[in-house]
Amino acid sequence: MDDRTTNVPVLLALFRPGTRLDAVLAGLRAQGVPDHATDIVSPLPLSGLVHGVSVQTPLYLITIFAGVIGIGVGLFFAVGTAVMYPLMTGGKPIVSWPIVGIISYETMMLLAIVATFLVVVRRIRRGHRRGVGYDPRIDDGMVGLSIVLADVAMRPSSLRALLEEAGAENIVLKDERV
Amino acid sequence: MESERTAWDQMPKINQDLLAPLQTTTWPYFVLVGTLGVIVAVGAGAWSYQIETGIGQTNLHKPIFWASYIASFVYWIGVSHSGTFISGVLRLSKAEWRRPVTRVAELMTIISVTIATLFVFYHLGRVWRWYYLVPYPNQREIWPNFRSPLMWDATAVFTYATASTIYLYLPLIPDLALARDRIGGWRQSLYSLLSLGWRGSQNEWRTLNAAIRIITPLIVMVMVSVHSIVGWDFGMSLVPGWHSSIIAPYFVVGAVHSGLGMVAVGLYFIRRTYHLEDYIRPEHFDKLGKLMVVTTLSLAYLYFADQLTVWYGKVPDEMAVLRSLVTGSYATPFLTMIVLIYLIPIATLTLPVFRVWPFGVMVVGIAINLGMYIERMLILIPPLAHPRLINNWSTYFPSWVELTLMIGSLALAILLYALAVKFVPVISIWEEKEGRMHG
Repeated sequence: MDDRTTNVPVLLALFRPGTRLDAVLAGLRAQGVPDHATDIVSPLPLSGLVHGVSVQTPLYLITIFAGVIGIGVGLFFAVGTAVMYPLMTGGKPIVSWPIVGIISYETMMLLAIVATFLVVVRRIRRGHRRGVGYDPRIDDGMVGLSIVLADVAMRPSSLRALLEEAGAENIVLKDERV
Repeated sequence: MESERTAWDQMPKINQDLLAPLQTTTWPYFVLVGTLGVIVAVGAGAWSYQIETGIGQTNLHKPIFWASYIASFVYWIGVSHSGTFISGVLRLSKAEWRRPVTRVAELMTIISVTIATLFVFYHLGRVWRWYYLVPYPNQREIWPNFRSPLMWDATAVFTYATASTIYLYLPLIPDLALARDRIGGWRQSLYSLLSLGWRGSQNEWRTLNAAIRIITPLIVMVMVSVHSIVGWDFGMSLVPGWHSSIIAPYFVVGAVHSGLGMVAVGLYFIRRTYHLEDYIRPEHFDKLGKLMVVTTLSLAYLYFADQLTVWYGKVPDEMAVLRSLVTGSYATPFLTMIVLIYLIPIATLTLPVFRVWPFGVMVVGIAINLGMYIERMLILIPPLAHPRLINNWSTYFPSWVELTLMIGSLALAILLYALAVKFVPVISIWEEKEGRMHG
């Protein structure tokens, strides 16, 4: 596993809630700041703001795929093991289909949920690879606009001026470890 | 718009209030933890004694081979339905009032499943052979027999425990990140690890919300299946009193009934101990009370339908069990159960003024749980004590080892809860903020 880390300079602008962030983003875009360089950081999910949507396999497809594999695992347990090692009990059939349904249902749920969870963990961790600025004041009710300087052609001082003009209350330069 | 601004302004106070239980500890807390620790140690001693000297230390005997341990397993699995029901079903129905309640209930789920699993181990005669339940070909080249309802149980409980842990953890990530930035000491590194480097970017929120949206209906389906399977442990046998098609839904509704009662108890003590009156309000007890009325009526309907069929059929073997309950040696616990789980909730929780009285709802929650414990015992013991051959009829009362383990396990559940409250915010902070944003 590659655990090498590097520092990425990030400019983090803190805004009061209620600021029209979509307008700020449009302004940055007009000045040549690419979308992938910016991130909006908030203490709760912001509704109506479509920004930073990355192209990824929809989570529900992963859930469905894992669920199908789970059915296979259930079939292996309830049918496969019974056929490989037949154990006669009270004249009951070796493979009993209602029971195959019950076991497969449980393994389907187990794999679907676990796979969804593992993908979420991976996506959250991978999300920081680019560098996202963070400040504890965000959890106290501010909204952060994080810009990865390496991805922006503009000079930081011009960028800072642009953000101040847009209403940023505080702008900090951070070295985010990624 | 004004309410939205107010909600944003309240965030520092919400953070402070809801992280306070993690930061301040008073001496009664240490006394509680110490006392519970001693009771748990006594329980552990009783289990060691049972392992050392054999399962004969219990009062299990022919024909009563399942008794207090299995009844306790069924009871604790039932309590575990609190978290899934409150959190899952209310999240699915977008009920806003769930927000301060979900975490309290989800923690209860994890702890209850753990305690329930322990009872399976207590019940194993040779507990060191527990791995026979794990699906792999053993030395006799026999895999576990999946045709046995006990293997359905093992599979379902494992799925439920894993899924419940994930379901607790996912909405906890943003709160762990908040704690990471505000709580120092040894816990900080643990919070850092568990919060996965959470920042609160919109991509993270989208991923988290998508996962919660997907997993919520799945876990509700798992919840229903788990207690149905626990019910089928009994229903699949030909024992008079157990062999009933209604047993699975009856178990599921009973589980939710005791789970809701336990959530009311938990909410009351959390609210009182940590002065969270601004967050856990009488309206939450009112809503819980209404749900408990629904479960009381549903459970009563199912129980009546089941027993009516037995009574009208007059099959002698079935009637022997019913008579033992209504007029025989189990009449006192039976009537106590009827009062605790049906009459008291209906007499109190149907009154709107009672439902907004947190103490009263908490007492009803305790009554329901006492009653459900008795009910689980009555499901197991009278049918086993009255097998078809009359000369095999018997009686049962738990031995001191069984009673000690039951009390020790209850103490362990409370101890784990008390410790958990010091580690995770008992109210989901970001969901509380989100709720206030939505007014």
